Amino acid sequence: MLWLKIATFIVWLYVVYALHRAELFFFKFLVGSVGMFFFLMMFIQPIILHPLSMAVTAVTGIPGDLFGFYDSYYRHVTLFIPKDTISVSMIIDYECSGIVEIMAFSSLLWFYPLYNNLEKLVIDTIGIALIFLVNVLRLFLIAVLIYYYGNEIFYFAHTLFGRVIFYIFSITLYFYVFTRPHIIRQKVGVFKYGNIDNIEPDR
Amino acid sequence: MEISTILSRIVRELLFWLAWIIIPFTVEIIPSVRSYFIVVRKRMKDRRKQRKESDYYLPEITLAIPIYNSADTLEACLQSIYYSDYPRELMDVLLINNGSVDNSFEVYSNCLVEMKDLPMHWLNSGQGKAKALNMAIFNSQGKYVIHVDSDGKLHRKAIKNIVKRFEKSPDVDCLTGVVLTDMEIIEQTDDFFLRVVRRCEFFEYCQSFLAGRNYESERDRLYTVAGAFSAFRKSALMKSQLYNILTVSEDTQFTFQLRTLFDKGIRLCENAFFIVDPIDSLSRLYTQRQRWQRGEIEVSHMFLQDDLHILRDFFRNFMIRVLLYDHTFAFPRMIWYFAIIFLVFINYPMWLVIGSVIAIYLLYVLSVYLSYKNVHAYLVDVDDVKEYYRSRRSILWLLPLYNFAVFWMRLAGIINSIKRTGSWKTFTPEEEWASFKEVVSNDFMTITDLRKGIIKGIHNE
Repeated sequence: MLWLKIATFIVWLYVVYALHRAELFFFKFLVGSVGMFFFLMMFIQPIILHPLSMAVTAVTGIPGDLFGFYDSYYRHVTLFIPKDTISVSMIIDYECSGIVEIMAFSSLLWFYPLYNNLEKLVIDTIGIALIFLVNVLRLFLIAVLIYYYGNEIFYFAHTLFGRVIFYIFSITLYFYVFTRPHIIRQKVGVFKYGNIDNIEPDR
Repeated sequence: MEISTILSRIVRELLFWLAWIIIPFTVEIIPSVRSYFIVVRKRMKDRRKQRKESDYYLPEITLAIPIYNSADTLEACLQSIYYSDYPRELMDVLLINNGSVDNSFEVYSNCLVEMKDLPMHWLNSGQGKAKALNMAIFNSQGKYVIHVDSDGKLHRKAIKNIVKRFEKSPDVDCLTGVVLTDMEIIEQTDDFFLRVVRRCEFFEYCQSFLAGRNYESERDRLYTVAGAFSAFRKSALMKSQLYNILTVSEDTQFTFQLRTLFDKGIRLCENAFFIVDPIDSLSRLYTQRQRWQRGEIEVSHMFLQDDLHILRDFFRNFMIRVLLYDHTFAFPRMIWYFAIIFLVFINYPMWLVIGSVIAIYLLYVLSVYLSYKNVHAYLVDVDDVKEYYRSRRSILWLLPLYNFAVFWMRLAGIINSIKRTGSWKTFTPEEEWASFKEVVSNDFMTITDLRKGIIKGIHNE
């Protein structure tokens, strides 16, 4: 199957390059970022998932140790939360690692036509660091909830509460990376009138 | 299986769904339910405030019609004014030509003969709608100035209803009418697909004006007046900075100006209708929506640069929320749509993925149905429109799909506005496809030439 993946990758590269030369900015953004996301998930994700999960576990362990809510075992990508007589172990898997969010953000950014490459590099570095830290915060809060309310809260804390935190953060990040600079840099007053066939009425 | 186990399983499934539909739910469905109740409340308030016909004073008014190659539509437009129920002697119609090269003037001359008792004047301005409207402002005499596009027709009661609304509400300086597409043309469309698109567009206009803008108007948050049909108190116009000639979206720019610089009241007049032609084709819809999106970004650039801090301005400035909805949310939405496909690849059960999509679609249908109920109640004085709207309500099942298509067009508008210079000419999908094909075929030509060259080289020709 590897040859098929590589062939798809080459076709994708060519299509993006052709869209770039045809000056089809929207389609380049669409095909480019969606494709990049898929290929990152296909090629890069298996390589960095485990180290990333270990890093997330290790950093999440710092406030856990500090406040005594839980222990972290980064080699086993596990948080160990003692609750009364039993203990809850939380494994930092694929969903908890924040890898999907990191790759989605990077894919959108690298094909967003507002920035030059240097800007993209800087913004992506800061963006990934922020996503990582917010993910740590999310896991810390989930673990604290479990510490106080037990295993019953796990599903709510993880599936809903954790996602809402990530959701609010992502919107804020996207606003500052995609919306605000676009509004500020938007060029106004360089428009020209085309011929009548291309004029659509305002409504 | 024990009942508690079954219950806990159901709760787990529900929580899973809630997590996935949280984006469309918070962004679209909750606001639509909220706006439904606010518009219902407004309707009840309006009913209490109704006054008798004889209570109104009808002043002299000015109608300003910018003309740009309008020969085909001008006569119908003027006729709709001529046959309106507003006294003709109280109307002054200004036709402002801004660079036409067709026989619009001839059409005007014929109308002048045909409609002798309607006062009309022809003026010439520089090219551009904004310049035409600015000239109209300075030449208007009436207490109210009504801007009407030359490519549509006013409903018989539209002018009187707008004037009555102004007279009733001294705090309002600007009113926007309701723009709808022509039902007859929609139903005469031969092509089935285009007819469905046009019906969707009709419902979209109804909902956008009578549900969306009605809600915005009630909360004093109208983002833009309809460029095709809007009315102003002359006194407010004279204090303004006139129409901006630099943007493709002069109407939105003007709305922002009135609101942010002069704190003027801007409302929707929900019983003044203006009928325009439906969209020509899907590709025209594509270019039109891109241009609208660009307009929004340009105007935000002009007025919101200092208010772009989400944490500080989110609750303070509703325009930031509009921008957040139209611009920022577009990106997670795009990811979300593709993530659904990706879920299948990472071994989520197919039934769960398809089930989620169906559930979300049904929620969207529910949301457009709520708007439908509101709009239906607001269609007063226009029995034909009301009947048409009711009889075609099955289109509500397709409306979320249409809105989905429009979402991609607006996203294209966001991305293209970054690189392309503002132009009234936006590339159609056909033109874009042609330019892509050209690049690809050039590449193939290069490869073929190279191959031929190598073969020649090998054979030492």
